[in-house]
Amino acid sequence: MTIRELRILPPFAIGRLGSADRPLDNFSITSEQNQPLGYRRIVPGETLHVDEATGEINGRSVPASIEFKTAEGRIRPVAPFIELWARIDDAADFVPLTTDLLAKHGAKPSDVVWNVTVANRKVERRTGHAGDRVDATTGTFSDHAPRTLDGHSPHFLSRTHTIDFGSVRYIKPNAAHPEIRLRFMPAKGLIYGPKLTEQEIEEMREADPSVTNLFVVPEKQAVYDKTKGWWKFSIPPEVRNADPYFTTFYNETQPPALFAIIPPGPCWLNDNVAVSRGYLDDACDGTVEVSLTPKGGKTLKAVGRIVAAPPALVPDSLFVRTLADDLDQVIFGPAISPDEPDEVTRARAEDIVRRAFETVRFLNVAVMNGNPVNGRDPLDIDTMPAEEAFDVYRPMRPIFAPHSADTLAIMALHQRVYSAMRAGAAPWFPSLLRKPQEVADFTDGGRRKMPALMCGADGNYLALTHRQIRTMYKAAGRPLDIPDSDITLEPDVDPSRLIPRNASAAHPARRAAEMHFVAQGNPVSSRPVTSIGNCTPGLEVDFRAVWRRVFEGIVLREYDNLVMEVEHTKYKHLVGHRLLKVEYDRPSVRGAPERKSFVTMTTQIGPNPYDTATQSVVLSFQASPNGIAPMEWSNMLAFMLHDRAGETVTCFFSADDEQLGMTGWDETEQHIEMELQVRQFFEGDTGVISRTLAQPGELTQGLCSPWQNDYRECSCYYWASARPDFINVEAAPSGRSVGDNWLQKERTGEYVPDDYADSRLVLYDDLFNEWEKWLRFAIEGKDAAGEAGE
Amino acid sequence: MTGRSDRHIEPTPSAVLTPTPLASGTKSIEEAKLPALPPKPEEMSWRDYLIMLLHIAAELEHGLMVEYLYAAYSLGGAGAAEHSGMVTEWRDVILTVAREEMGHLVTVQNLLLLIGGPVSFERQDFPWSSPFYPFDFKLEPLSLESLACYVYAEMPKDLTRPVDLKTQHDVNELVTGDKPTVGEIYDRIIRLVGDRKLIPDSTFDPESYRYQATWDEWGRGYRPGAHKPYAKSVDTPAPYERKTRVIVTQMATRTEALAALRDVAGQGEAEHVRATDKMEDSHFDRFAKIFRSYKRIRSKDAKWSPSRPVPENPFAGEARYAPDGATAITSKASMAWASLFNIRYRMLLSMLTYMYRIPRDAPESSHLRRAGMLGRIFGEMYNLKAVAGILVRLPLGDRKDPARAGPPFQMPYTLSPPLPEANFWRMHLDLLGATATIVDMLLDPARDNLADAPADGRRYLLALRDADADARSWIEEILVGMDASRRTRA
Repeated sequence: MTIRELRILPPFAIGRLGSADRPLDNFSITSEQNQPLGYRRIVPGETLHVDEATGEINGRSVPASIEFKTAEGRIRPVAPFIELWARIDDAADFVPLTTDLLAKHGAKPSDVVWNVTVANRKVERRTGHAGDRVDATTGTFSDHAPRTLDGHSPHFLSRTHTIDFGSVRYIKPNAAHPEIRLRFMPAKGLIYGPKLTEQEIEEMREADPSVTNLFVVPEKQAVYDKTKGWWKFSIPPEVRNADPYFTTFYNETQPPALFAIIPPGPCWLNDNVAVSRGYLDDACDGTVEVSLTPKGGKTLKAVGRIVAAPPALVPDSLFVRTLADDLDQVIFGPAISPDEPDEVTRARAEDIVRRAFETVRFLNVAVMNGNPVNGRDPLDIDTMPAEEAFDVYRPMRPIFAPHSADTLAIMALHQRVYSAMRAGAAPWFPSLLRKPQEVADFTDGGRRKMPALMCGADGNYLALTHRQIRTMYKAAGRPLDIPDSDITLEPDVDPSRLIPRNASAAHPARRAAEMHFVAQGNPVSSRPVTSIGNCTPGLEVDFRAVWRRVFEGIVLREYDNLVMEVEHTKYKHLVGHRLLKVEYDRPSVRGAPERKSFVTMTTQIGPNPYDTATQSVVLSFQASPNGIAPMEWSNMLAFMLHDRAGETVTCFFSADDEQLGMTGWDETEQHIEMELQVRQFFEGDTGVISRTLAQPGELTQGLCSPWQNDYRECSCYYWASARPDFINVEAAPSGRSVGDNWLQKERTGEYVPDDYADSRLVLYDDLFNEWEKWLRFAIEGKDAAGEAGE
Repeated sequence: MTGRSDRHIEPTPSAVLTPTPLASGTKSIEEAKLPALPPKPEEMSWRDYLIMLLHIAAELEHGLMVEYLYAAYSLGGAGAAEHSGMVTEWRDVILTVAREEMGHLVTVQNLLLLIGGPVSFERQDFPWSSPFYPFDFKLEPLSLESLACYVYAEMPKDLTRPVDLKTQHDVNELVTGDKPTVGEIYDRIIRLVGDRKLIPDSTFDPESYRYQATWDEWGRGYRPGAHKPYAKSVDTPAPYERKTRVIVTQMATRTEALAALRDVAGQGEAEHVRATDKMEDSHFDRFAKIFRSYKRIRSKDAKWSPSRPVPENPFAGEARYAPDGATAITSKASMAWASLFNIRYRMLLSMLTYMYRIPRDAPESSHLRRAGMLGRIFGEMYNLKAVAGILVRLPLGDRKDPARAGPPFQMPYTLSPPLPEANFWRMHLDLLGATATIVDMLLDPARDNLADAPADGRRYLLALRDADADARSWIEEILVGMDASRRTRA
């Protein structure tokens, strides 16, 4: 008997920050059978208790209820277990690696060698200095003591100044729990920064007297050497103004700034001036590597990924497009197999609609539609139509007829759609779904496509994944009579159960089963299904970053197809040029391969005033004469990745350096043509996102620094069911939906429109000082017990 | 059954009154081609007569829409499975036509508002006949014969293409109507609206614009997308990804009214007034294509049918009250589902009727109710789709009998909204209560009422109960706002 392979399961585990001593208990969420339109029920699960002293699991229990925040107001961190599984001899399936199994192979638990590496590269992403990278590694270990992840950067004050990224612990197996597993305990959610003088702090206070509670980095968190560049780092406002006469290139993020700035904020309402406060956070991402050398055998290795992210504050709702949707698209491809049973497609279609109304109900639809609020100019309120107006330099227009936009009305409509689908009605609305290539269609028809009112990873309107859209089309085109079925998709359902078990599907099915693996003791919030997908930049990860190295030899900027670096000097001439088009031969069922191509940039179009319904115009402006905008990669690359991973494709780059300009594909122009290889997304046949694609720290480098800043700046139209806008919603006597802005301090039932200077709302320094107080859990659409606010 | 308006369609003038001469010099080229108006009924003014014609048009559009919906819902079963892809496409095409009829219906209401008439969603129960429709209106499963009727009724006057002439020939072998088609009523309406002398400018009330249904409220994306920038001409084919163009036109003037009427008439029932050939396929074209495909299959298999064995004119009620030509649903559980369907149909129609009383730009206290009502109107359409989908899978009578039930689309005893508004909402609470009684009865495990229903039936009822609980809370809150809650609770 021989151990052939090892696997770390799950291959992608999400830890969530919190300062409570005890991690969050295990829970899942499930539909209420008798209230299918209600919130998902939080179901406490079997929780494993780790003995602090020994590192063993000394008990397990199912809590009566889930306490997300302690009575003292501390959030309980999500500390996922990571299990080690093994494949024995010629078996197809993996089994948990246990002490018995080790013994049978002449090994003992101490022969299992772990090594965990994480990093926070957020500051490095802004400043461009490698010295700003904060790395932490445990080195190899096989004992059961907690291993702290002490993050250090050359730009810290000294070697002893570190950021605490949390810890990992090899759980000591015992008779009751003989499985080999590791636990990741993320950090507390602290903010670190430069060590400043009283005078420097005072100057910051004076910059905006309305900020009365300026966060001062505590002594023990003042680790950064203020002379190294991050303190007072800034990019000239002209870059953010898209000033066409500005001729210096800066590697700005998208959205711009994305860091805590010296007041006043935000930068876009204050002349685009963004001067960094020099803050860092203790979020991170990285890898867990393990090796084992069975007696007389060769050394076996496995790897997994971990990430430390903010808490899942709406634990009973799922976003309409999650990271799981994007990962499933990579695993299964953008198309739906014709072999997929109709009842399975139907269940997946229903699940998407269900998540749509779970998302809508946290949006103040009237406000997010761009309606005036109490007579105030809607342009002053952070919404997607306002964002669009700023982006294309056009007057703001509401998306839907203002009088028809109301949360309860729109949610009820979505729920009726869902109900009809439960009755067996095939979806009749797929053509109303926004296609990935239509994200920059700002005509009324384009903006009203679904999902509406929300932003995608490219800053345009959100589209579902190709795979989600095609699910809806397949469900719509199903035969008129399908077998009776009663499947409701739950996040804990093993997706492999829903996948046809024929030979061709077996491989992705196993990978999906790994990706969505439910490890013993792990709450659902540790899995990709609870992570928002396709966002600018995101919350748990900036998934845009995973595509930067998808073409072997070049490294692209995460959002606009610009070549930033090369991996080999032969590609040096591509730096600063833009990838505009990709062509490749795709195998065809008819025999001869067919030539496929896609362009990477789209044109922003809007209504033609001459006839807004039937004609459109390019939304050009001085800095963007062709109205060109990039499209997000997860959808754009999906077909190529499915067809050509591991093979070459023909890439066409702009002939000119485009660091300061932006063009789209124009076949009449000259281009640089290169054959480049498409990298595999996963390592081998595992569910591990390739380390070549994303190194430790890179999956989170595009996120806000500190992440708390993002809860202030990124309105809910990026991530409604993860960062709600509208809670405690009920009907008013007028029929209107009323409720609270999630970020208003006092719950009054009177929605306070988003305003960066309104002291009724949670402001930047409130979050920096007391984020665990102000980020309130919402259960069943209302403040969770004890979360009512001031 | 004939309608109350029928006696006014071809009136015989009395000796003392001569027909009012038609005005001259106000006709467009198209209008000049239209047949002359018959004499005006002496009981009416021309405006009144126009309102009556619009009511008839609304009734016809309503009837056609429901007929088409029923035909689409009937599709399924073994025959459909044999040609699954094609029949699924037929369903989509027929539903698209029904959706466009809905647009016609809504646009006719807008015109009624413009000339100061009451909106109308009334119609007679099936089966019924109209002087402006060559066949009896009836709910029936899709068959070659029913398709022939649809093709005949939507047929343009001057066909020229050989394929259309062949279709005309084939259709005429199956059905022949002895009455005009729907297009004729639009001819009369267009003629009348275009005549400044008969319908003076003062008839048109631009203030009604704010009450009229808008594309923004009703369109739901069911029209071609905008042309790409730099399109050389608007005649370039638009991106017809939805293969449909639902017309919902607001109008403030006579000119706009005429344009809207031509558009509505041209899309389906009056091909000769179509503005351009570059528009979407007419209803005639779409039905003719299905007819030809159906005929091809039937030429090889004379017994083939794409439809489930659903009845003609299903009737929810005691069989002895069923009118001639109706088929009583006798399975008790199926009858409960049919009643549920009728309740939701009534909710839909009553909200449609009432919505036109609420202007879009009213104070927040009422225009938001228009938003809530709009959402619920579409929600009820989805409910009808859902319940119809269940009904066609349920037994008509004996569970061993292959005959299935169908959605009855029976009209409520009245659509006149109770006033003041609080009473309208009380009525809806009553209807939600009636729904709850049926839903609870169907879900009651002791009664085993879901024995013949697919699992979908239970899944739907649970969702409906959940959604209705929210709807009830919403209405109760509105009544609080009207200071009418106490009386409701009492």
